[in-house]
Amino acid sequence: MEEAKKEHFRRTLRDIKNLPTLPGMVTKLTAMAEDPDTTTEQMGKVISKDHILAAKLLRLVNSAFYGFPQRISSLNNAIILLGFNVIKSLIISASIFEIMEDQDVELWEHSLGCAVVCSVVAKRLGISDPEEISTAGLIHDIGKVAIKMELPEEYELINKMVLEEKVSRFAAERQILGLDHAEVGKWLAKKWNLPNKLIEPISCHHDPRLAKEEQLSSAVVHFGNIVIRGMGYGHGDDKWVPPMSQRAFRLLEISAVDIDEILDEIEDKLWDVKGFSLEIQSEQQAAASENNCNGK
Amino acid sequence: MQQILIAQAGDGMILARDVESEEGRVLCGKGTELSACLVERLKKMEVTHVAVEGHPVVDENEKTLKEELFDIEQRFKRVKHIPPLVHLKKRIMERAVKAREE
Amino acid sequence: MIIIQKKVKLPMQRILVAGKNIINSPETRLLLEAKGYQAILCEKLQDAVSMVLEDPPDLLITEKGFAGSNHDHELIMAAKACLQKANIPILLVLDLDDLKSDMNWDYYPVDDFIVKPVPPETLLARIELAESRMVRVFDNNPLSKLPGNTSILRSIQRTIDSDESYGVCYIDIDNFKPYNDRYGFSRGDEVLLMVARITVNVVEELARDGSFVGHIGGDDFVFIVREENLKPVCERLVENFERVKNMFLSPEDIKAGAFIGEDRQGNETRFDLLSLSVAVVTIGGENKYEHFGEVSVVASQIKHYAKTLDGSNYVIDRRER
Repeated sequence: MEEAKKEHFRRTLRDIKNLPTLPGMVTKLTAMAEDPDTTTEQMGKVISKDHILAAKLLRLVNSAFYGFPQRISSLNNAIILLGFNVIKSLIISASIFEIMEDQDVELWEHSLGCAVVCSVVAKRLGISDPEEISTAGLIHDIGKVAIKMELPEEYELINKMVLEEKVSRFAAERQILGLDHAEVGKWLAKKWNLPNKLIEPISCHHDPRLAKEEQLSSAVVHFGNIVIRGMGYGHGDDKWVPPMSQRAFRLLEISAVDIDEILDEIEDKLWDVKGFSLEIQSEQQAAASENNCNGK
Repeated sequence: MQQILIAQAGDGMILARDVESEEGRVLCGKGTELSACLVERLKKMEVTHVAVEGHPVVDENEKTLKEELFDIEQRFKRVKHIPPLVHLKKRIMERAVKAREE
Repeated sequence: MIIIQKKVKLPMQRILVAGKNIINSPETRLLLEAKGYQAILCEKLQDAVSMVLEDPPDLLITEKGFAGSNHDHELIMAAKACLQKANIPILLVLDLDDLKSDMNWDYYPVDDFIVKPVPPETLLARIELAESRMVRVFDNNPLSKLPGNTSILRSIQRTIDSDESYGVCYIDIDNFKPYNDRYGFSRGDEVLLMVARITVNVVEELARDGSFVGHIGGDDFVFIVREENLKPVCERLVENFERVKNMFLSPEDIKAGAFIGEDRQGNETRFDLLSLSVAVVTIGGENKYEHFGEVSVVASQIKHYAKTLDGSNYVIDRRER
């Protein structure tokens, strides 16, 4: 992509305020918000399963106007600081995917799955705030959503190239756009004033050697991405498990036995995620058929 | 045997494995026949999935074991030179087989 | 250094106008702009709420029944939840008929109303009055935007005079001065804001009815909740503070579990990391007070004790937690 076009893209990207969420999510959260017995904690649990809403919350709490720019890197803490009413407002203002495609659900599942792996690995490593890393794992592919929304034609070309020429999505993006979704994710994260603890893992999840201060977090997200792709849960990319950085793997100090135990834990937690995914998708089908009945 | 989500469990299905709580207490023994009422109780206890006998839940997208193993093999095709990932692949394949054991 | 006073053009006050029947003509809009008000029209709830969240206006005018069912209420609630621009004046535009059936002003906690059809001069006058009233009535803390001393004392007096039982709770941040010295005032301000936020959020969620949150100044806050809510609110407040505080400390300090600073005499000392001390004075029932002054005195004693305890704590009257 020539510099001018790249710069234009970068500038347009800054205007994205409304990345769309899955309709089923919005339906569920709206219902929860209207129920007077719902607690902030319950809302938080559901929001922590959506990469788009999580990104929005983080952006909001880190905006200069709230008072602690670049400070909040964990979703749970963002929720504590924003409070129920603001979260409710956020849900009301959430825009939804006009046309829901399979790929959107697959990316959602992949993001959620990655967050789960990151959480498991971070806890095993004894990291003091594992939730920060799982937050990064949840939103690591936010760049993909942006590319799809802002450059739909190029997005189609990328899909086509992956399918026909059997190259990785990463390679196709670089070929067609001159940049990749990790870089776009980095731009967004920076624009949204997110702390470096989140920016680096997002930016380096394919190549963690690029990480400077957040080497461990980046290694975890890199690993999380690979494992969840290996398990075949969710999609949003090409068919192949991406290569793993040796250095990152060494940082994690994971043995063969660890892998077995980690897989056990992940599988267990994924059931919860799968159940939730089913729930969200059926909420959406229910809403869609209601719309059809109302002659929408 | 089939592992299914609690939301998919229904009347008449028979548990192929004990259902345990998070602490390891057996909530419902292997061989129990499920009823709508029992399923509700299990849901309230935050059970996410159960193993039932036979193959009562039909999923059009479900693959055969052979297909699933082939998929896994394909997925890892480009990282055969990375030993930890080869190990990961092996383990994932083993689990796929184990999940369908009768 | 010579300071040259430049006549600065004040930025336009932005007014979010939610509803179709408020600005009826281009002349109205021009009149507003001439007086420094930029009207931004929103007809959908989603757009209006987005704006309140991300780029709050200086004033909100909403039509009753705007966009259907309870959307007017939702929008008003969103504006009220916006702490950083606390107390955005809100005007409600309604029909005369609405006034004939009882208006529930708790459901519509607005600052003024205007009856349709709205003549442009009336609209302008109400806007200007709302603004000037905001300045007069509120003694908000400039940092946290929470009510200040006058409102606080008034609230405490109200609880003393009521028949019901309340807890008046004084929050103090332990080791705030060394924190400020070490991290700078800007970071110190962030911590104050953080405490303001989590206090408001916890009180709103667990004990909204009959509650109050104020900021005395510096690192001193006050909140009032009904007695039955005291324990859950204090527990959750302390819990949330402990969860969030690490975001405001450096990894080295967290690891060390302390920071090295200087005490008031300038000697090097070891300070524990930030923690919260909450001193609770129960009012009502057996504890009778006449005047808010008495409450402050008791609070001081309790606070003194609470601060001797390690970590974050709350102490209710003289009982140990």
